[in-house]
Formats: sequence, structure tokens, C-alpha cells
Amino acid sequence: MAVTSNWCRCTSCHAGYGWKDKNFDFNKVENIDCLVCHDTTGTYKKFPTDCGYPPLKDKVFAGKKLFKAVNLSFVAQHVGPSTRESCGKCHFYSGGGDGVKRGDIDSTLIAPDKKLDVHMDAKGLNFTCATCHTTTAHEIDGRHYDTPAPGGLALAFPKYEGHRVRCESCHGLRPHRPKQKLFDWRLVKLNDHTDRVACQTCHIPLYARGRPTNIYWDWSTAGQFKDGKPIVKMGPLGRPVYHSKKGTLKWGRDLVPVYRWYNGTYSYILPGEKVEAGPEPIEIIKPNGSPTDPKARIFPFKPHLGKQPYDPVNKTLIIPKLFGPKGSGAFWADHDWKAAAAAGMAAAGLPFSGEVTFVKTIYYHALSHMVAPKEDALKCGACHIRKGGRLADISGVYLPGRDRVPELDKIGATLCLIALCLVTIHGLARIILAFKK
Amino acid sequence: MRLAVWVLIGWWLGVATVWGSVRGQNVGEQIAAPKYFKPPVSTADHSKFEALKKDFKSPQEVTKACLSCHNKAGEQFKKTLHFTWTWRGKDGRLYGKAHVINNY
Ligand code: HEC
Ligand code: HEC
Ligand code: HEC
Ligand code: HEC
Ligand code: HEC
Ligand code: HEC
Ligand code: HEC
Ligand code: HEC
Repeated sequence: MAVTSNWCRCTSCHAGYGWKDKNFDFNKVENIDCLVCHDTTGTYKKFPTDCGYPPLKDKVFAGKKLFKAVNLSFVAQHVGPSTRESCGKCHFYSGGGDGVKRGDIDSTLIAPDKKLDVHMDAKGLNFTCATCHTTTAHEIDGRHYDTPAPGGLALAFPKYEGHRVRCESCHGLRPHRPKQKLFDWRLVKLNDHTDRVACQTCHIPLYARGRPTNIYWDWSTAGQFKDGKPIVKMGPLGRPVYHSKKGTLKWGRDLVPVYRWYNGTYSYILPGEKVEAGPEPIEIIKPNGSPTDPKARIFPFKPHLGKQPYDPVNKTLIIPKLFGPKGSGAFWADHDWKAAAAAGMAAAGLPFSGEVTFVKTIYYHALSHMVAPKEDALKCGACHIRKGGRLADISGVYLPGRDRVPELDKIGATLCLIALCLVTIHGLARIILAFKK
Repeated sequence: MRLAVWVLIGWWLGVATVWGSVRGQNVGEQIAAPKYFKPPVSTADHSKFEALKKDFKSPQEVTKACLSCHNKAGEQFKKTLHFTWTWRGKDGRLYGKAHVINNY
């Protein structure tokens, strides 16, 4: 979905105050929220529907959850460096709940053990988010849309200085070193992978190891009621499998990632951009990369399937208005997709034909968190196997064990045969010659 | 003679590879957590600053108080992705949370 027309709900995760429509003034620096990242007391929270404001008196959200009034003076007197919890106030709950969106960032990272995350392990290395996401003048390192994350090798080249967000920027490109022995072929071979296989691929064997994550979201079934009352049906993982506001949902835990070539940049389909709906899901947010790209590595992803509103005449994705008062067209108040689409598209200044259908879409999330201990890293057999390996549908590399080149096999067999013939002839010749003497 | 030369070249290439890998292994080097992973100890206790000992009525007043000392933080932060939710792509199009659409 999109932020336009849903401001106050969605800007509750904006590091600012009062972004309630498209006229928000980005030049008023007093509207920056310093406390959300620098609170160390754990008492500072933003109210989920107040355009980024914290609750200044006790308030109840959605009829059940109490948000206590924030004591601004107390929080202001206890500011300090950012913590996992402060980044997590937004990042753990993106997608509308704990762990919903990413599958590798959720509230279990407030105090994880080593098994869950070797770096953020509260009793061990105890990294904060900013330990890796190095920040200079408030530019937080990371991948931004079509711009890859900065940093690179462990070498202190000036251009890499101050950037530590990539695995290689701390560990280097050949991170596997023997502890006791002088030399270990297995580790040499592991190091030989790093030009084609990303660290994350072997070191994040499973995702959603903390909380369940959403893997399927069908908006088309939203808006059903029973006796005029909203329906919420809970599933086995303690997450809703049907919700009148959201539709049909599927959840997963301890999931095997899918693998794609990824060069650190992404492509997006923007609202208003023409896109054909076919039988395959539309790739609305997808990683770029190919085997011929020297920057690309095989990388793990969480795929997220969705079914979302689409304008079959203009062939564009629709921005629906979800949040708002009754009569505004908001879907969560009026339960009418056409009205929601009309209101949302008007707010975005985009054309809308009046028709709404639903299309299948897919969004790939790159996984980089919840790095498992080294013992849990993928074993050779997980990839180098004839059938059913993790990289079964990766093309562009020769993977010993999975692939075979029939010609090569034939050449080998022919060479063996020739050798055998020669040995036989040679042997025979010697025997015959021996008799001749 | 030719054959002998090739065998010799092959042998030395083999030796060089093995030697190179052993050397490349940085034998015995431990990966220790460098010191810079801990943020430096602060020289300021914010609860002692007069500017913060106020009964703030709105969060904007707090930000103004912070900016009275950290007078560059505002200008820096207001240009970042976390504030603008806007990212100008290399293709000239506007990305950022305020402009893109997802399937959640
Ligand atoms: C709990 C905080 C929170 C709320 C509330 C929230 N978001 Fe987000 N949103 C995030 C975070 C964090 C990201 C960055 C995600 C990432 O890169 O992992 C994000 C990213 C996005 C993106 C960029 C594409 C993507 O998925 O990375 C879109 C679009 C988006 N949100 C739409 C919305 C809409 C629409 C709403 C309101 C219905 C909303 N968000 C409410 C936290 C939130
Ligand atoms: C999105 C989160 C975020 C917001 C909002 C934010 N900061 Fe920061 N700030 C950081 C991070 C990350 C660092 C790096 C060190 C750390 O982990 O805290 C940092 C560092 C700092 C530092 C110390 C380093 C330096 O650059 O001198 C100060 C002072 C600071 N911030 C003040 C502010 C002020 C004042 C505001 C409000 C105008 C603010 N911050 C808003 C994330 C944030
Ligand atoms: C061990 C280092 C490390 C730690 C600790 C860490 N991250 Fe990351 N993070 C990464 C790496 C590596 C990437 C991938 C960067 C790239 O695209 O190359 C990443 C990417 C991200 C992204 C962008 C993902 C995308 O879609 O491209 C977000 C958002 C993020 N991290 C948030 C967090 C938060 C929040 C925390 C703290 C709870 C955190 N990170 C802690 C290493 C780390
Ligand atoms: C082909 C899979 C694979 C790839 C790719 C890979 N690793 Fe590993 N890694 C492993 C395995 C398996 C182990 C456990 C080795 C052992 O038995 O000691 C390991 C161990 C480690 C260790 C622990 C070393 C020690 O002895 O304490 C670190 C650190 C590490 N890897 C970092 C990385 C980084 C950084 C990258 C990317 C540059 C990477 N790995 C790429 C499979 C891989
Ligand atoms: C900010 C620096 C930094 C970054 C970035 C970083 N690491 Fe590490 N990593 C460390 C340190 C320090 C250790 C601890 C080494 C030790 O214990 O000797 C470690 C340990 C490890 C281990 C060994 C865990 C074990 O079982 O002992 C693995 C595996 C690992 N890192 C993988 C990764 C991967 C994969 C990434 C990228 C997502 C990454 N690291 C990014 C600093 C970093
Ligand atoms: C994540 C999947 C994965 C795992 C796990 C993995 N490999 Fe590989 N391996 C690959 C891929 C992909 C290639 C081809 C890429 C290339 O040419 O570097 C490859 C290539 C190789 C090659 C031939 C090419 C070369 O560079 O030497 C050997 C030998 C090899 N792997 C051995 C191993 C061993 C031994 C292990 C376990 C210690 C292992 N692999 C674990 C994916 C994997
Ligand atoms: C009276 C001046 C003053 C005010 C007001 C002030 N600070 Fe600071 N702050 C400092 C000084 C001086 C440092 C430098 C401490 C150091 O570098 O050791 C600092 C350091 C910081 C740091 C770096 C981490 C740390 O604890 O050293 C952060 C983050 C920070 N301030 C945030 C804020 C925020 C947020 C506010 C508003 C609530 C604020 N400051 C108000 C003077 C002030
Ligand atoms: C007030 C909520 C909030 C807080 C607090 C916050 N973030 Fe974010 N973060 C977001 C949103 C929303 C986005 C998406 C921005 C966009 O795509 O336009 C984002 C984007 C990112 C990205 C880039 C991801 C991408 O897909 O491009 C990284 C990396 C990141 N945040 C790291 C952090 C770190 C580290 C901290 C803690 C210092 C932090 N964030 C604190 C809301 C927040």
C-alpha cells in the first residue's frame, strides 16, 4: 500500500511531528523527532495514528492498547546513543506488527541470544543497529533504493572509511581462517565462494527465527463481516489468518529463503506506472543482478506474495485510501474498494478509471540479520547436490555436484578408454616382445 | 624435451598455488572485536543541562532545546531519507516511502 492519503496512520513511523497531509513543511527543523532514536529510558513511544506525535496524555489505541502519556522532560534529560530498541520502535513493527514485514528484524532482537543473532547477542558482542549501520552526520548507512550500501573490503581505503554496514567491511573477503592447523582445504574452498555467493547465503540458513512473519496478504477478501461485526480469525502461529480490515493472511516461521542474483540495488514499480497483469505475480519490488554482473552475488530473500487493487483500464497499481473517518472513502471506515481507490488516486493526483480488480504481486526482502552461529552455516551438501538443493533454480554458475557437462563427462570417459587401450596395447606388446626373445 | 618442460611448469604452478593459499590464510590470526565497536564514553550528562530542565508542553519545544546546543543536527537530519522519505533515483524518478507502493 502507499502513504499518500493515509498520512496520520503511516507517518506514526516518521522521525518527525505532524506530517498529516502533503503540505508538511520539511524545512521546519523543530518538527524533527530526536527522541525516537535517542531515548534511553524506553518510555518514549509514538501514538499509532497521531501523525508522529507521542501521546501527551493517556490514550487508548483500537479500543484495547493503552499508551501512557510520555514525560517529555524526563526523556529529554536521558538521551544518549541509539539502541536496538529505539531503531526497533519503527523497524520491528513495519508492515503493521511485530516481525510482519522483514522476517529478519523483529522485537526478539531487543535482547537476543547468540543462537538468534551472533552480533546483537545481548550477552556477547551486543552490537546496536548503528554498530553496523554506521552513521555520519545522521546519514544512516544502508541500501537506499537504487543505491547500494556503502563500504566494502576490510582494508582501510579512504573511500571505505567510516562505513561498516557490509559483512566484508569487518570480516574481509576471505574470512575463513584455520585456528589450529596451518592449512585447511575446506576453509580455502569456502573462501573461494565469496566472489559469487554472499556471506548471508551461508550464514542465514533460515529466516523468521524470532517471530512469525507474513508471507501472503490477499487484500481482495477484506471487508467481510459477520452480523455486522468485524471478523478476526486466529491461526496456529497466533497471528490472524483472516481480518476484516486486512483480508486473508498467511504466516511462517523458520523458513528457507529463496535465492536470487543481487548486486545491491533494487527496482520498483511506481504508482501510475503501466504494468501488465499476467498469470505470474507482478514483481513490484525486486533485486537487480545477473550472473554476468561482477558485483552480483547469490543472495537470500524473503518473498512476499500479495493480491492488491489494480486498475485494469489504465493498467496501474492503485493507491487505496485505507485510513480516515467515515464518508471519506477510507476502506477501513466505508469498506468499498472503488471509493477507496477513487479517494487514494485523487490524493496522489493519478488517473483512475473507476474499475478495480486484484492482481498478484511479489516483493523480495533481502535478508541480512539474524546471522546464525558458525555451526549452523549451510553445509556443502545443501547446494552441491544433484536434486533439491538450495540453489536448484540459480542459473549462470557451474555448481559441481548439481550440474554436469555431458561433453566434459564424455571427454573424460573417452580419455580413460584411450588410456586403457594404450595400456593394453603396451602390455601386449611387451608380452609379445618377451616371447620373441 | 617439450613434455619435460610442461611437466616442470605444471609442477611449479601447483607448488605456487598451494604456497599462495597457505600464505593467504594469515595463519593463526584471530578475528577479535576491534575497540571501535563500543561508542565512546560520553562527556555530557544531559540531566544536568538547564536547557532540558523544563516542563516541555510539546515535543517541538524539546527539539528546539536539543538544537540550541546541537545546532547542526537539524540541518543535517532534515536532508536524510529518514525525514524526507524521498530518494531521487539515478533514472530521475522519485523513490522513497512517500512515493513507492508495496503489497502489505
Ligand atoms: C511501525 C512503523 C511503521 C508504520 C506504522 C508504517 N510503516 Fe511503512 N515502513 C516502516 C519501515 C521501518 C520501513 C522501512 C522498511 C525496510 O526497508 O525494511 C517502511 C517502508 C515502507 C514503504 C517502502 C517500501 C518497503 O516496503 O520497504 C512503504 C511503501 C510503506 N512503508 C508504506 C506504509 C504505509 C502505507 C503505511 C500505513 C498504512 C505504513 N507504511 C506504516 C515502518 C512503518
Ligand atoms: C533515525 C534516528 C535518528 C534521529 C531521528 C536522530 N538521530 Fe542523532 N544519531 C542517530 C544515530 C544512529 C547516531 C550515531 C550514534 C548512535 O548510535 O547514536 C546519531 C548520533 C547523534 C549525535 C552524536 C554524534 C554526532 O553526530 O555528533 C548527536 C549529538 C545526535 N545524534 C543528536 C540528534 C539530534 C539533536 C536529533 C534531532 C534533531 C537527532 N539526533 C535525531 C540517529 C538519529
Ligand atoms: C551485523 C551487522 C548488522 C547489524 C547489527 C544490523 N544490520 Fe541492518 N543490515 C546489515 C547489512 C549487511 C545489510 C544489507 C546492506 C546491503 O544492502 O548491502 C543491512 C540492511 C538493513 C536494512 C535494509 C534492508 C534492505 O531492504 O536492503 C534495514 C532496514 C536494516 N538493516 C535495519 C537494521 C536494524 C533496525 C538493526 C538493529 C535492530 C540492524 N539493521 C542491525 C547489517 C546489520
Ligand atoms: C559457501 C558457504 C559460506 C560462505 C559463502 C561464507 N561462509 Fe562463513 N562459514 C561457512 C561455514 C560452513 C563456516 C564454519 C567453518 C568451520 O567449520 O569452522 C563459516 C564460518 C565463518 C566464520 C567463523 C570463523 C571462525 O572460525 O570463527 C565467520 C566470521 C564467517 N564464516 C564469515 C563469513 C563472511 C563475512 C562471509 C562473506 C565474505 C562468509 N562467511 C561466507 C560457510 C560460508
Ligand atoms: C561491525 C563489524 C561486523 C560486521 C558488519 C559483521 N560482523 Fe560478523 N562478526 C564481527 C565480530 C567482531 C565477530 C566476533 C568475532 C570473534 O568472536 O572472534 C563476528 C562474528 C561472526 C561470525 C561467527 C559467529 C560464531 O559462531 O562465532 C559469523 C558467522 C559472522 N560474524 C558473520 C557475519 C555476516 C554474515 C555479516 C554480514 C551480515 C557480518 N558478520 C557482519 C563483526 C562484524
Ligand atoms: C550456498 C550454497 C553453497 C554451499 C553451502 C557450498 N557451495 Fe561450493 N559452490 C557454490 C556455488 C554457487 C559455486 C559456483 C560458484 C563459483 O564458481 O565460485 C560453488 C563452487 C564450488 C567448487 C568449484 C569451484 C571453485 O571455486 O573451486 C568447489 C570445489 C566447491 N564449491 C566446494 C564446496 C565445499 C567443499 C563446500 C562446503 C565446505 C561448499 N562448496 C559449500 C555454492 C555452495
Ligand atoms: C546544553 C547543551 C546540550 C543540550 C541542550 C543537549 N545536548 Fe546533547 N550533547 C551535548 C554535548 C556537549 C555532548 C557531547 C558529549 C560528548 O561528545 O562526549 C552531547 C552529546 C549528545 C549525544 C551523543 C551521545 C552521548 O550521550 O554523548 C546525543 C545522542 C545527544 N547529545 C542528543 C541530544 C538530544 C536528543 C538533546 C535534546 C533532548 C540534547 N542532546 C540536548 C550538549 C547538549
Ligand atoms: C521513526 C521511525 C524510525 C526509526 C526510529 C528508525 N527508522 Fe530506519 N527507517 C524508517 C522508515 C520509515 C524507513 C523507510 C524510508 C524510505 O524508504 O523512504 C527507514 C529506512 C531505513 C533504512 C534503509 C532501508 C531501505 O530499504 O532503504 C535503514 C538502513 C534504516 N532505516 C536503519 C535504521 C537504524 C539503524 C535506526 C536506528 C538508529 C533506524 N533506522 C531508526 C523508520 C525509522
